[in-house]
Amino acid sequence: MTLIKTIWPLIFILPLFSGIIGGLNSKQSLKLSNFGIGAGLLFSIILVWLLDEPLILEWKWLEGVSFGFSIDRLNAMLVLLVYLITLLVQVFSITYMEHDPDQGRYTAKLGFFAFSMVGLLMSNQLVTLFLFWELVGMSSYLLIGFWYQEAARSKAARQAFMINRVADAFLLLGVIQVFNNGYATSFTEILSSGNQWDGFTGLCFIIGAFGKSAQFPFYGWLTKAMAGPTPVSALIHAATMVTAGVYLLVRISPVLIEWNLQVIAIGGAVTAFMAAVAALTQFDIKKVLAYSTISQLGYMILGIGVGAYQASVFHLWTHAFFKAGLFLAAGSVIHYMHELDSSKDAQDMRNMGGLQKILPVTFYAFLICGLALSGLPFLSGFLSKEGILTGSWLWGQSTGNYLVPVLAFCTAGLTAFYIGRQILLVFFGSSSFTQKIIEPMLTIRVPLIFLAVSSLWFWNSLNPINPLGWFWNSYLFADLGATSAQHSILGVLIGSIGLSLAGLGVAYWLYRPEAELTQNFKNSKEPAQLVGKISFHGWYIEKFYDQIVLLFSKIVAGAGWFDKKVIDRFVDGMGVTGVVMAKVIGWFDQNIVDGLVNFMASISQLIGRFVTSFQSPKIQIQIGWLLLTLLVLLLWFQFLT
Amino acid sequence: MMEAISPTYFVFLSLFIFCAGIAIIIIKRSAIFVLIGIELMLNAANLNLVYFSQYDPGMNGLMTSVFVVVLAAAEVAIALAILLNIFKHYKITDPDELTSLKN
Repeated sequence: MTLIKTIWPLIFILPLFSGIIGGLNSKQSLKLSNFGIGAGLLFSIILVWLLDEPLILEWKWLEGVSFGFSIDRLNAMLVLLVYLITLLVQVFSITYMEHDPDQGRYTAKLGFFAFSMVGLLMSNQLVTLFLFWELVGMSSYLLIGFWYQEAARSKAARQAFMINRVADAFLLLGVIQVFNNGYATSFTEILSSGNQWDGFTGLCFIIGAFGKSAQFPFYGWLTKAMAGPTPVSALIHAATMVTAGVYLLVRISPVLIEWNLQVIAIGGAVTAFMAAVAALTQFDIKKVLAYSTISQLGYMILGIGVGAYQASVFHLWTHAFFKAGLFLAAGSVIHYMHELDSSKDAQDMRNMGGLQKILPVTFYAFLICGLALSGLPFLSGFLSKEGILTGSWLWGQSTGNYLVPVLAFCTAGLTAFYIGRQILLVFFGSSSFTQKIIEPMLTIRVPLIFLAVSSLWFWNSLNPINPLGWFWNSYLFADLGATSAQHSILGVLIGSIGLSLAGLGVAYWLYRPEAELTQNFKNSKEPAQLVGKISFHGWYIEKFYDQIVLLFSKIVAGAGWFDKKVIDRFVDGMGVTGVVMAKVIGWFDQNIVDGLVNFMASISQLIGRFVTSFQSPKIQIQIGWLLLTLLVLLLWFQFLT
Repeated sequence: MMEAISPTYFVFLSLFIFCAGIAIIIIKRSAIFVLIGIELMLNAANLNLVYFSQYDPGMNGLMTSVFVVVLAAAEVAIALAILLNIFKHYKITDPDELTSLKN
């Protein structure tokens, strides 16, 4: 326990330090930065190894508000995951970013991101969580807009950030609700108190989580986020940050009421299906993966909604590996395409094809990770997805709501199809490239091979078709005490495998190298028919955002008009009235009030003059008066007293 | 024994003289006349004192009147001397025109 107390601050702070050191932008500092992340990874392994009881650290911040962290097995495992992927991405980036003069800034931002993410995962108090939630959003914005010199990329970064803000506002509202309603404010207390939240608070948290995890209707930001460097997409927008929403929902799911969970389940299922459809027709290699990420996140969210949150955490874990692998492989492809011919769009799949021969390691990594995504047995993706599908099926049986499982199964087939299409279009077919540059870089090969091997089944469960055999299950959820009554269902198993194979088969039939579609693909344009259009434009979600923005700008314009025509008029009228009133009062003051005062003054002046007139410099007149007064006094005393 | 004259005459006489003195003081401009008026007033008072002292065996009234005469003489001597000097200096006799004692 003392060792843990010693190393957890290191785990917490190391990414920040290595980021700062990397920011110095020299060869040595970049190496040192990687070393820092490596040390952090080592520490987090020790943490996972030694952690037994949850460790809670809290400082009082304000009256009634604490600044608190806790380390239990779930977030220790996720911290390990963040470190692992960060390290691989940093190693990969050494080559990927070698021509960029701003590599130091890149490393600094990565370090900042890793720090924020670790902080988010370790947060126990909701306020602390919100703080790091925002920092994560901020660092994501910084990394998306890394090439800020290009206007389109910085615009995309802004858009992604703004969409996140909308959802974050709801999260903040939720946190405020928790404080207002007097619920427990830390995850540990939330679990132990067992009080249910009211629906509105739960909904606010759900919207916040949907925003970060790119669920409907917020998923538009994740495709925007692809403007960042590809390794960043692998780290942030596939493996770690987008799972923050899933993590949050896993944490709070015990206190959510029934309809909140239904919102989660349906939202996740709808998103999974929509994003899978949108991934079918994309030309951009990264956009396919982005939509695929949204779709897989939809699975995880769905899993929480149907009560299979263990499967969701399992899927989060496996997805992080194979999706990071896919993105890094895509990054390798893009890097290679760029080196080869910088005049063409290096991300457009229409310019690719036949890369299998030139990039064998990338190809095999992409193939294994892609098949893991599609959900074939003997790969990690199958196991975790199987858990979620089973959960959704059981949920459908118990509630009678079959929308969620049906969408989930459709998505499984679509997933296999679009990833099959992508593999075929990028790596198979005729190649126009004759060079034999075959990824000479160790820094690119090692992360790819590592991630591909990690996507095999035996790292997770010895039985390749048993989703409940995850090694981490007993480690993670033993203290939660809630082992769900799940069991494998043969039908679901067969259906899942069948759909994956069917999807891959259709993809092969349509996009095999000699097929008509593949031949025409290089010159194909945006799809013309309605379904294709909807898919290509991602269900027109951006149009939807534009409409909202338009609506708001209209509201603002209307408010402006109202302000100008009504409020300003009113204010002007008030002003005129004030001036008139002031004039009236001024006249009154000058003539009536001052008049009275002047009148009094002139009366006293008159009296004064009258009295003065008795007086005289002449001695004799004074004496006369004196005598007169004397006489009067005498007469007074004589006759009147 | 002389027939006693009714005190009313004396009182009226002295009143007349007193009022004359006052009138002179008030009306006349010359400081000499003012002095004369003062003398008249003093003597009007003396007249009263002298008359009524016949009822006083101690004759305190008479004695007082003698003092008053002496006082008046002294006063007139000093006042005339001052007035003479003022006249020599300023060539005026009207006390109202005398506005400063220093030149």
